[in-house]
Formats: sequence, C-alpha cells, structure tokens
Amino acid sequence: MATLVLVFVLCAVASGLLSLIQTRWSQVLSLLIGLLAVGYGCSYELGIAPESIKFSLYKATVSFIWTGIARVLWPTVLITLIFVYLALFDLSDRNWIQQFVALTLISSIGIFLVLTSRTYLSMFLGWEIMLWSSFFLVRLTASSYDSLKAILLSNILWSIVFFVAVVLLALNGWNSGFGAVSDKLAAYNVPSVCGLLLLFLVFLSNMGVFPFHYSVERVLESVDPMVAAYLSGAMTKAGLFGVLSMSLFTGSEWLSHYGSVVSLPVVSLVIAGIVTASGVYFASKAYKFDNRLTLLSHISSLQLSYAVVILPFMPMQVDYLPAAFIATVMIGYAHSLTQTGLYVSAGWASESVSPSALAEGTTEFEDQVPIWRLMPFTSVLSLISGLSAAGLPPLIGFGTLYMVFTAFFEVGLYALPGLLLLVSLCLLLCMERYLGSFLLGKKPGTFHERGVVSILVSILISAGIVGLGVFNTSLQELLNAPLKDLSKFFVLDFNTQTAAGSWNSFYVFAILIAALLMAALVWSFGESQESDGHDKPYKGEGSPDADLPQAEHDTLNIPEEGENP
Amino acid sequence: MTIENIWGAFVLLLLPLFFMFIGLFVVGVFQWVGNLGKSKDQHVPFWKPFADVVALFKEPIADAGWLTNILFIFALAVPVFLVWLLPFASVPTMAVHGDLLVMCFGLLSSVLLMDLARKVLTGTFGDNESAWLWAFWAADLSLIIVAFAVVGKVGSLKLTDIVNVQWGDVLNAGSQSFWSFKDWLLGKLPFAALVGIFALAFSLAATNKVFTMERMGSPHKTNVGKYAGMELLTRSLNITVRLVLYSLLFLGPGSVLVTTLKALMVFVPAVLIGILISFVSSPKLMRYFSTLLVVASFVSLVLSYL
Repeated sequence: MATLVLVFVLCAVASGLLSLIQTRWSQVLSLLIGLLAVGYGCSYELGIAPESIKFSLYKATVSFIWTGIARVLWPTVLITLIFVYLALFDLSDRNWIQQFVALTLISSIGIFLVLTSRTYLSMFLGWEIMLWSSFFLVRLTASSYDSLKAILLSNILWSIVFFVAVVLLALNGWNSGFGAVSDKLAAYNVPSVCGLLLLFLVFLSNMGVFPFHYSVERVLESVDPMVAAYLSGAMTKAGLFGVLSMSLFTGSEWLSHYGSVVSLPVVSLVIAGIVTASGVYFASKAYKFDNRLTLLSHISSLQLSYAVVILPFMPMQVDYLPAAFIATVMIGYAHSLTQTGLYVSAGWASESVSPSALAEGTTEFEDQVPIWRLMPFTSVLSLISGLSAAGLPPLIGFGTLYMVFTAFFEVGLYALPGLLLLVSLCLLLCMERYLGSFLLGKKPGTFHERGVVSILVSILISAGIVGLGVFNTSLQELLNAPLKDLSKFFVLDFNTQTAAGSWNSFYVFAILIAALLMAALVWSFGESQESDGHDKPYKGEGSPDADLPQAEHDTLNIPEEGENP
Repeated sequence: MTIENIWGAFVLLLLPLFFMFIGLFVVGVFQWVGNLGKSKDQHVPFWKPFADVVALFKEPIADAGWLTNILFIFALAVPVFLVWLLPFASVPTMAVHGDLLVMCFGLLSSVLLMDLARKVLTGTFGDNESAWLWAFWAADLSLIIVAFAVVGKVGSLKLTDIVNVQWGDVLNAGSQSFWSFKDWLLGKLPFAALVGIFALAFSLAATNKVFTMERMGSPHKTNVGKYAGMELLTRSLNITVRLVLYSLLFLGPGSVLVTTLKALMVFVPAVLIGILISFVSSPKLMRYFSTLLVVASFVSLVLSYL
C-alpha cells in the first residue's frame, strides 16, 4: 500500500507547511492532521488499519472504502493541493495564506471522504464538509459580496438537492449503499431513478458544466487565482468521481437493463448538442468579455464537458475498462494539471506592483512590458498548459482527447465525435484568447518571476504535463491494477492500443523533438541581430518591439484593445 | 545498418523540405491564377513565394525575443512532424506510430501556434474575430470532420489501414497500381470528398489573403524578415500537408511522387474554387460561408454514417 502511505505522507507534509504559519489554532490543527495522516498511513501499511470504515447512524449505514477509483483519482486532488501550497511560498503579499491552508486541508478531507464513500449518505456527509469549507475559502478573497451571495445560495440549493436525492435513493429499506441502489434501479424503482437524476445535476454543478456553470463561473472570476486554482483543480474532482461512481457502481446495472434508452443516438445527440451549445456560448462570450479568470472558468467547464458526453457509453461491468472510463480518469489528471498551471501562473502575475518595488516603497510605474518578457518560466507554464488543453500531441491533454474520441469509435459512433470536435475548437479558441491576453498583458518593468520555488513549480507542472502525456500508458495500467510500487508506474510500453486505432506516445514525442530541431535549423538560416531587449525587461525605447511591424488593422479589423484588465 | 536504412533516413529528412518546396509552388500558382482580373502592373509571377522566402531570410531584423522565436519554430515544427506521420509507399515514414487523431489535433495545434506567434510578434490580440482567420479554423475543422467520415467508412483511425483499404482489390489481383481508382474512397464518399475540396479551397484562399495583407514585398511592410519568411514556409507546408492528407484519404496510396501528383490533381479544383472565394470581400459573408462549410462537412459525416 505504498500509494496510501505516499498519500498520507503528503498530507503530513501539507500540514507541516501549515505548522510553519504562525497562528496558534492553525498549528494545533496541522499537528492533529499530520499525526492522524502519518499514524493512519503507517498502521495501514502494517495491516493494522482497516481498508474500510463502516458504522451506522440510526438505521442508515455510513461506509468508506479505499477503492481503485479513489486510488487513481485522489492524486489529482493532491497534485493540485501540493502545487498550490508551493506556489504560495513566494507570495508574501497575501495575508490569508494561513486560513487558506487550513481550509483547503479540511476541504481535501471532505473530497477524500467523497472519493472513498460507498453509500450515498456517506458521500453526502463528505460533500457537505467539502462544500462549506469551500464557502469559507471563497469568503477569504471574494472581491464582491454578490459572488459570495451566489455561492451561499448555490451551496444551500445543491445541499438540499443532494439530501433529497439521498432520501429518494435510500427509500424502501433506508439503504443508500451503491449496491442496494443499483438493485433498486435495476427493478426500475421510480424514486431511485429520480434520485439518481438529481444527483447527476449536483455533480454537474460541482464541475461547472453548462448549463449549471453560473455559480462556479461567478466564484472563479471573483476570488484570488490561487484559491481558484484549488477550487478548479481539486474540488471539481468530487463531481467527476460522482459521475464515474454513478455509472460504474450504481448505474451499470440500470444501463445494462435500460441502456438502449440512454445510448440511443438521439439521446446522445441531445447531450452532445447541449455540450456543443455550451462550447459555442463560451467561445462567443470569450470574444465579448476580456476577463482572464472568466475565460479560465470556461476552459475548465469545456474540459470537463467531455466526461458528460461520454457518460452514456460508460461500462456495463466493473471488470471491463473501455476507453470511456479510461478517458474520464485521464480527464481528471489533464484538468488538474492544466487548471493548476493556468491559475497559478495567473496568480503570480496578478499583482500590479512587484514585491521588490513594494519593499523599496516605490509605486512608480515604468514603461509597461509584456508578461512573457518579465516572467519567462510562468509564461512557459501557461503555454504548455494551454497547448495541453488544446490537444497538442503528446501532452496529457491529447492523451485524454485520444481516449475520448476512441471511446466513441469503439462503440461504432462517428457522428458524435464530429459534434465534439466543435467543442474542441471552442476550447481552442478560448485558450488562444486567454494565452494572447495573458502573455501580452502588460506589467511594470520592475516586475519579475516570484522566486525560486515558483520557478520550480513551473518546471514541475510543465514536466508533469509532458511526462504524463508520454507515460499515459502507465496511467492506463494504473487503472487495471493498483500501484504496489512506484517503480512499476514507469511501464516502458508507450503504445496505446484501442479498438479503433493506436499511437505511440514516446515515438510521437521523439518525432516532435526531431521536427523541432529541423525547424530550428531552418530558422537558423535567417539573419537576425541581437538586441538590447533580448531576454531582458523591456525598457521602452530601443526595444525590439519598436522595430517590429504592427498588424494591418484596417484590413484585419483588429480592435485596438490596448491593455489587459 | 544497411545502405537502404541510411538512404531511407536521408529521404525522410528531405521530405519536409520537398513538401515545403511544393507548398511554395502551390501558393505561388494560386497567386498567379489570382492575377486574373488584375491590371498587368499588379501581376505576380508564380515563383514569387520562393523569391520572397530567400529575400526575407536574408533581410536583417532585430530579434523579437525568445517567445516569438520559439513560437515561430514550434509553428513550423508541427507540420514537419505531421509530414513524418504520413504513410507513403516508397518511404518508410513514422506513420505506424501515430494515427489520424494525432494528425487532426496536430493540424489544429499548428493553426493555434501560428496565430499565437503572429499575436506575440505584432503585440496585439483579439484579431481572431477576423473573418479570414475564422476561415482557417473552419477549413481545418471541416477537413477533420470529413476525415471522420472516412474513419467511419473504414472502421479504423490508422492512416495505413485507410490507405490499404483503397488498394485492397489490386493487392489481391497481384498487381499494385496507385492509379486504380476503383477502390478510392472518392467514389464511395463523394459528398464528403467534395466538402473536403471546398475545405482545401478555403484554406488556400485564407492563406493567400493573409499573405496579401501581410504582403512581404510591400513597401509598407519592412523589417519583418525571417519571421515573415517562417510564416510563409509554415503556411505553405500546412497547405501541402492538408493536400497530401486529402489525397491519402480519398485518392488512395502512393509513393511520395505519386501522392504529390495526386495532391496537385486535388489542387486544381481547389484553386478554382479558392479564387472564387477570395473574391468575397465582406467579412460577414466570409464568416457565413465558413460556417456553412462546417455545417456541410457535418452533413457529409452524418450521410456517411447512415
């Protein structure tokens, strides 16, 4: 159970970070969490701790178990958590870090309980812990009262819906266990079907998928980007797990009985039509409004939409792992890394005055310089995250899209992927809009990279996006068998074989590198002069930009948008 | 390592250069055909892109910074990468390691990178609202949707399978011929093939329009140097990759030369339609046509599925 130990050791590290923060109550909390994590992890390894926890609340059963899905999805939460903590290291200008770390730990425990729950009642309990700690997280940095009100109302509404769904699912025997609900669904118990439908809506709202994106969008655009990184990268995984568990543990029996109703091409087209409409809606909004954080929330929503579209084609048996299931888990990884990378880099670049300038007590604004000149590592992180979401082979985002599309081809559907391509295009347009806005965003010349840890985080996330893309077959292996040893993760077989096609991530990576070298060779034939501004903060006059051509706006109808907000 | 292997590797290295050459030729011919209806002093020779590339690469220019350079290099690298994934009968390429989905997302990524590179160079953003840049996206999306129609027909994403399906009967008969059109998917998916040609025409027209706007030889455009040269090379190679991909999807297999000839065959109708498209001056109308192209490609996909 090396993975579990790793999980808890990382929890302990996270709480250790908390203990560094000089607040008495947060230190006590971190100590307790650290002790619990390490103690439970060690006793688990020794075989003392149980694999599952089960007890009764009045007549209802509360049960948590460390299943295969929890095992593969939990790291997506941890990845975000650890990277966001590290990203905060160089941000001394935020005065809410202590509370943030404490609340994210509590929220993560809520997500952990959701991932390990085996009854819908226990999932509800974990969900509430996650939901309300997230409310306080938003409260820390929310820029407007309206957004706070939106999340409060949204939390109350979805809590009630979740509770009603659990009651409906548990009717006839007060058993909300996955197996019992599955049996009820197979017998076409109407309250259970209604309960499952309500739960589905709850999960969609958590993921911020159209048309339930409103509250998530409001929250993500109004909080600090670092908080948004956690909310988008980690918390949405609870909804993703919910969708997975619904189809795998409870919906599978129902699908096998009534699957033809769900998988009818007409119904599938309706779902795909809604998702495509969301893509067009988000892309059109992206060109009307220029708020970077809103754009990122749209990108997040579109990335997670893929999971919703392939839901009707989920497995009928637990022991069968079709491309749709693998794709959904891979969406979790790609989404976490991408969103963390994008939000964290937005967070580093969110200050208008650099820390050094603040330290010197100066507020003078020199000539404005694009972010990409001032923060090269941050820019590369954004670029790689963006290219991954856009699906450049062999990054993890492409590995995910490959499985999503082959999931359809596997069941002989070819029209739906055509619609889904529109979603990909809309995602690409949103991403292009965001990257253009972010990289060309202007900052004072004194602005620079946040520090060594920030640079390290940029390198680690970028390496993770490339590495998981190249080793995506290892990720697939992980779904088939639990990870006993970390060294076994590095499966040196890079060939993804599906019923429809195949691609070799390592060869594709090697070919891309070779192509890059060839393009660089062609580039080297051109004449160029070194300029003073090369790789240095832009100083206005004499900079290379002064010599560069401007687009012919009259012909292209390019708006003179000036600076970013 | 045998002599054949060394020769094969050498040819593989030359392949992108060869297709860059073809791309420049194709763009040049398109511009040359576009002379129709223009006064004589506005005529451009078909070798203009070649002369432009040489002149632009020789023109000294201030370095625009690391990100601009990387984006331009990356933008050219992606179509080079795609060339190596195309299956040819005469050259052992890397086609077996990537399939049509790799090609499709590579095509989309190349447009994204080129667009980003231009934005970073010119220091503006938001120009994607331009009708002609939307035409690029629409053309690529349509070509990919049309490719999905082929996948639906063949039942495989592997380009080698798609190519092999189109000379199956000839193989059985024992005599290979790249020109046996009986098995070409052009005949089996005529509507999809037609939409594909329109997609190529849109691509050609949009490329030409961008070059006209960013006219390298224009007295208004100086100091663009190798950045414009790289853009010209990248867009030309992108056009060739799309033409070759189309010919492999609908006109069967072939050696490098045969496939190039087939691609040039496809180019003829595409250039005629493209010239007509380039007469469209209203951005609103252009956007409308581009959207119509996407809808038509989706209809072709549904028709092939039924």
